[in-house]
Amino acid sequence: MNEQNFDNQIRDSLGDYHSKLDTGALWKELEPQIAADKKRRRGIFWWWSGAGVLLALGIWAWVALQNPQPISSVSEVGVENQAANLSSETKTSGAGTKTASEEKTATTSPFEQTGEATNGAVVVNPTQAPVVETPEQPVSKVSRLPKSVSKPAGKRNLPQAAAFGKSTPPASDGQAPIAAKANAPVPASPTTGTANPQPDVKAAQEAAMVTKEAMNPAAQEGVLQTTGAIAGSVIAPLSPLAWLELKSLLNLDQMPPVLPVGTSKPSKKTAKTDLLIRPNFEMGNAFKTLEDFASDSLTNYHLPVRRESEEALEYLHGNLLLGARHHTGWYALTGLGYTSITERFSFNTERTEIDSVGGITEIYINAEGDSTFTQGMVERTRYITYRKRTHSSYTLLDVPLIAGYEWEKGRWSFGAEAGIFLNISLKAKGDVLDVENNFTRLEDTDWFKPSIGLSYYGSLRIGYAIDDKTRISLGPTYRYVPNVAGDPNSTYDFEQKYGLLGLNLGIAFKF
Amino acid sequence: MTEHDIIRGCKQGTSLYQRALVERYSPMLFTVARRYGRDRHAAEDILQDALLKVFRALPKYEPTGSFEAWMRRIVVTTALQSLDKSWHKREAGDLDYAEEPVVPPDIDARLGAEELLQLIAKLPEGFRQIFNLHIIEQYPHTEIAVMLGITESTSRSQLTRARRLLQSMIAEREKIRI
Repeated sequence: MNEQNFDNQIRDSLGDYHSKLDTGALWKELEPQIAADKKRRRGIFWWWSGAGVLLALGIWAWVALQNPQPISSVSEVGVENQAANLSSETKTSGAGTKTASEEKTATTSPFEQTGEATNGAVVVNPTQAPVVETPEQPVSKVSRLPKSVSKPAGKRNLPQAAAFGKSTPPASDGQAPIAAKANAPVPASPTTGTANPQPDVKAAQEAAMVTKEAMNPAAQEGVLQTTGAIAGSVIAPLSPLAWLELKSLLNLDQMPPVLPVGTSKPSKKTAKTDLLIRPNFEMGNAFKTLEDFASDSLTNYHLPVRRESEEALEYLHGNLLLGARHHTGWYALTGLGYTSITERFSFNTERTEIDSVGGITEIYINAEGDSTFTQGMVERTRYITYRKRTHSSYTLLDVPLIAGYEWEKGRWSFGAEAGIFLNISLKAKGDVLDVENNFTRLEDTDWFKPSIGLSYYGSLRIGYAIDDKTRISLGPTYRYVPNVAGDPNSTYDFEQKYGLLGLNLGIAFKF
Repeated sequence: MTEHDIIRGCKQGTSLYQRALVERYSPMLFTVARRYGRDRHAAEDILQDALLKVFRALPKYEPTGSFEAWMRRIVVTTALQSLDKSWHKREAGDLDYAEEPVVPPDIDARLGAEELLQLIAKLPEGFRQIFNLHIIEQYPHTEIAVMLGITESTSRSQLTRARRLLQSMIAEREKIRI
């Protein structure tokens, strides 16, 4: 019988043969394992979704902090609100022609109203410049006046807000403020004989809010124009009490001078957020846990042997983080990192070596007792027991997403941060025991195919500011890597978890 | 319930279709597992693991070829991964001087598949693997060499030995019967 026939017969016999099997019992065993598998996959999905949401929130927060609304729009809202609150005063604009003139005459109003009432309009011009405002017109529109119209001239080139800030408190006895006497623009002040002498603290606060915005050092021309317009047309005379409150709210005494109107380019609010770059270096001890993925799987009987033969040693981690820090102390960071976990593999084993050596193959003893030795090649078997000891390494490429809070005390800072690391790649190198307890190379297995996983990070930090821009920080960290073998299609049935406890050193550069 | 229905249902993770898959295909897959396993118990383990892998991999399954062949391949791979790979060291030298046995020409008529499976199970591990891979699964020696981490010539020589051993076992069985 030739080989081909034999092979064909075997193939024909077994090719479509269905063995007897209790499929019901098999299903009963499989069902919980499939359910566990599904649950695990669902868990991975949710973790990913969570990470995506966190990332999106982080990006949104970062963008929002970096791009606050332009001041002009803020000013418009504020002014419109104020206009609503102080509608009665606004309404006086028509009649206010007279009122303003009277105030100028009687009390030297901070805004020298040199214009005349014309058809219900008031010319409000502390600098003799033709700033014309229609009372019924929304105040916010004033901010959009062309520069040629609104730009003050001469020494009055200083915005009203700045001058406003340097004004003296209004006299309650009806005397004109000193600043007014010195021909400097001052805010509307409480005057004797005003129609509404009662303090309107709320209005003052709101006015303060708007004015404070406008008095920001980085405020732009349009903003300052708006403030002037507010002061000229909206702000009602205030009582001394309200004035003091307004002043304290504005912190006028410490207000720095602002740029001359018309010379600065339109800009945004002063950034409340700093950009950060923080390179970090971290090292510490790695703690490894090997668990059977499916606890009732019978193929993982070598788990105890692997636990015995593998020992996690230390880990090294480095990353470069980019992010933003809000002036309140909160910050968010992301970047790219690299982690290397070192392990020791040691295992007592034995091997059998079979050699052919020259030796006696036969001894012949005759009746007389003479021996005849026949020399030849004989088989020699050696059983060698030895300890194999090597080092393995697992390397991860990470994308950290970290949020933290930092509390500053002088040059020192104290804080905490936490986040997740996306482990976007994994490489394993070294020796390991396979399912039959034979040595195999990690890189030859498909256990650790590059796959994306998650790990969780937390750290306490203490920092010291070397200068305004640089802060060095140090702190204990802990990172939990739930499973380095994240590929559900790999043949690896273990959950290989790590806890990484170490010390992190970072230098943050603010710009 | 068609094969297409089962595949679609399993991709969606529906328990009903998963059970249908197990009931329909596991007897056939169990035969494959038995050819590689030392005994029935080992074959059951192989089958269980393989079916879990089938369910994990099904969402990515592209119906380009035979579904049965795809599952068989998973069973074979699982079996090879779970079995001893050091056989070729230990079994070298066996049956060096075995004479070619005389095998009756109609073994499939004389031996049932069940008996044949029992005889194959008695082959040494390495022989059994190569015999199954080449004779039944029809993998070429080059591929077997890669799969098992051995040389092509080792695969050829061990197949010859495995064939002879199986033939002699069949012949022995026939003698006993006679």
